[in-house]
Amino acid sequence: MIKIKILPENVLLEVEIGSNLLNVFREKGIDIESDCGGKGWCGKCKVRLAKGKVTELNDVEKRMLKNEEINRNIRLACQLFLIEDNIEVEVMNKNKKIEIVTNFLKSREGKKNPLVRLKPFKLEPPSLKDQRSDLERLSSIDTNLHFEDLRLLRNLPHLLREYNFEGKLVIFKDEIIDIRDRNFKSIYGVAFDIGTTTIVGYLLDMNDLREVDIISRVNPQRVYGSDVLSRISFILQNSDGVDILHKVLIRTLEEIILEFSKRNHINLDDIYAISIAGNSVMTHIFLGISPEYISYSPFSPAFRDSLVISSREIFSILPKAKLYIFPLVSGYIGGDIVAGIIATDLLREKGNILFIDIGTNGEIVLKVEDRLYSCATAAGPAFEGGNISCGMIASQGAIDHVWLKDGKVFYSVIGGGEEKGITGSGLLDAISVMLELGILDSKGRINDEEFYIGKIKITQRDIREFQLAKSAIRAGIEVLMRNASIGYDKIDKIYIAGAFGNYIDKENALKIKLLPPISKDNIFLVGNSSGMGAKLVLLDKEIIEKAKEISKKIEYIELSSNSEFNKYFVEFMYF
Amino acid sequence: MEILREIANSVIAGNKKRVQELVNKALEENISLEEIINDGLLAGMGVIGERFKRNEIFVPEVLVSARAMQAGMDILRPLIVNSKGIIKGKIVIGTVKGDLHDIGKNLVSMMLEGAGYEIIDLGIDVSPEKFVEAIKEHNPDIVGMSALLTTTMPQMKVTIDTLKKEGLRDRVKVIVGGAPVTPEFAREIGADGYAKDASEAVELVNSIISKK
Ligand code: B12
Ligand code: FES
Repeated sequence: MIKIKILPENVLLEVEIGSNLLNVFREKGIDIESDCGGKGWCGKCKVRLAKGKVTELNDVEKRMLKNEEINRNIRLACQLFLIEDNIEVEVMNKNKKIEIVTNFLKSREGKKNPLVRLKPFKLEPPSLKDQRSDLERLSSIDTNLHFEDLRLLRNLPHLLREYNFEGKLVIFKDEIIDIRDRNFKSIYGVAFDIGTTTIVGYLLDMNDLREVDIISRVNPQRVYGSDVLSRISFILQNSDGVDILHKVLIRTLEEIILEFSKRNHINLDDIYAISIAGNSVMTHIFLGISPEYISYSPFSPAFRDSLVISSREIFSILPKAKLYIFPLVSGYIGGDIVAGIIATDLLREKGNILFIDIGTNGEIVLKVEDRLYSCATAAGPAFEGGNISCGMIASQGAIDHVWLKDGKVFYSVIGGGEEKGITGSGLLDAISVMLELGILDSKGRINDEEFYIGKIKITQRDIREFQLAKSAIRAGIEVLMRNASIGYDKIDKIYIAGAFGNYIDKENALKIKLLPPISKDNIFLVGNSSGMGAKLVLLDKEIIEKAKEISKKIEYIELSSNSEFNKYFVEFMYF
Repeated sequence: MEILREIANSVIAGNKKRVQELVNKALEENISLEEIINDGLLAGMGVIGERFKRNEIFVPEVLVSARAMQAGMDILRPLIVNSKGIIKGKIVIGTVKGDLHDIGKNLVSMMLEGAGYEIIDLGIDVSPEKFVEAIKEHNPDIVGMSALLTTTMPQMKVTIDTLKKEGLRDRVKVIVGGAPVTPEFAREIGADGYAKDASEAVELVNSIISKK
């Protein structure tokens, strides 16, 4: 056995000689980013060797690391093996995404407050002396609880007698939604993040308050158009359009639920709570409400407040559960953003924080003191590879990173193998490299028409599309900062959410002026914050109130009629 | 003439101040308005249009040059007594109802202005009724509509149908544009022309006017 110390926390571990460092981290539960899972193409698992000796730098590391990093003793955890005693390493990139949920749970320890829970009861059976109704008897357990479900009332008399007046209440928030026998133990919740492109479902064990499973699927509505407006166009052109889009969505969500049930051997009947976070258009369609009036000026949604409804109104496979739907802020700031603000605990964090969901809708929230400003910048799909000649979403075969080493261009491909296209993060890197090489000028002009990354050609039109998308986001940031009357030096942190956010190279994002000039150490990639918010509301019912407060508090700044926006939009098209 | 070439170059470089200086100097030298405009200011915008079309320059450069050109025009406009040979035609333009995007439309307006047309810009969120009113009031040769949202494109057809109902359709040519608009869509709704970008819009308008 040899000793290894992990900095800066000074965690001391004893490990087998010859262990792989990434494996050590995994086994000991130490957090480190490792997007490729240790295959050696993501370069995320960087550590700094502060003391001691390990295996020599291998070819993968030589390819992935910059000279400057090698000089600083930076290594890749997945590539090195521990061969000597008394080693000290520092983890460079931690999984910010996971930290948020675990930190939250840690801060909540002791005050467990789940949205759905079980409460045992034992009642005196009725007698001639005590002829109270079954419902009164049940309600006497806790006067804070209420009861609304006719279907349950129909069964109540039989159930109570079958269980001998002893069993467990299933309570959603403060409502009794079911009664089960006294041995019944496990209840579950499902959190959904309904994105325009991707849907993610999380299965949570509501007893132990832990995540059990996760399934992600492409949003089946994609065949009806990639952005929300194209989906609404379909609705405008087809009288049963809402119905069609609603049904394909619900079918996929039900498939995810069924898959959870099968994979984890749980009863559908034991799922009692579902939470839904989605942008405003997705939330409308989920509920079967036409989003038509969101799609043109003055962009008004049908509703804004959060909703709690019976799951049977939406899911035929879940007759007894309850659905919680995150509140919306406006037609273009939806429940996904509210959930993201919850997950990152934006309101309670100190300082001024910029929260950006870099995607087609480009939602931005700026928290200054206790105020929240927001806008939607309509960046378009370039970050997801849309409208780019060889563009593709971040999936197998997409170039996701490009970098220079000794004047030569290197790149990585998701899933290894041959490059099939380039995704937003790859294009962002490519632009930064092209600027560095002088192939591209700061106005966005390519002097040398032919620029290839592997087999993928970056065209002048691609750069122009990217300029529009990048500048829309940056201009939105500038407008919010003006509204809050703060300058760059007053921004303490930037949180980047969304799928693209996971891959983005912070330094390059600063270099091409997508982000305002702040230290890259204050930029955090927060992953799927919408999904995390959806999970958190299941774990803590107080979040319902918090979400309500946030949706009321957020100030929405309409950019359409904002002349400042146009000014910045033109200004920041340059790199 | 050297000074006209210099005016054109200053427009291309987007040097507003220099354009103003040179235009004043040209006036002192008694060069005709027509020449200053056509061979100076508009010649410069012509080059900008070409470069924009070839993607060599982008929105910011066009805007800067257009502003320089406009600064020159502002000096000359009050002096124009007879617009014949200077103003090639009149165009009413606007972004359709429900749509508030105007950067593309503004670019088109400026390029058309830079090609010698008089522009009446109705702004954004323009209802069919407002188009009708403007046509009655200004009697333009061409009406241009812009839409950036797939959900507001149908408003173009509504507007054309309204023009028909009002008996105005034959008095004007209708052209349409905006990122989601296609030539097929333009044909389908009965528009007279479509252009994919601002410099193509100039070519389109030139060809419509020359056929008149
Ligand atoms: C800037 C922008 C905004 C700005 C608009 C500022 C302004 N005052 O114009 C703001 C942030 C306010 C905005 C708001 C919205 N936007 Co917006 N926006 C964009 C963006 C990023 C760029 C558009 C642009 O200015 N392009 C540059 C100009 C120069 O190009 P252009 O407009 O195409 O014009 C050229 C040609 O089309 C042609 N042309 C244009 N008009 C005409 C007219 C005639 C007669 C002719 C001949 C030619 C012609 O010539 C022009 C010059 O070459 C695009 C996405 C993108 N990357 O393209 C989204 C985009 C257009 N917006 C979109 C959406 C959905 C919205 C919103 C509805 C929702 C939102 N916030 O997300 C709101 C609502 C506003 C509204 N209803 O108008 C969507 C539309 C999707 C769809 N399928 O329809 C896009 C495509 C982004 C996306 N995929 O989500 N947006
Ligand atoms: S985990 Fe080491 S390179 Fe990806």
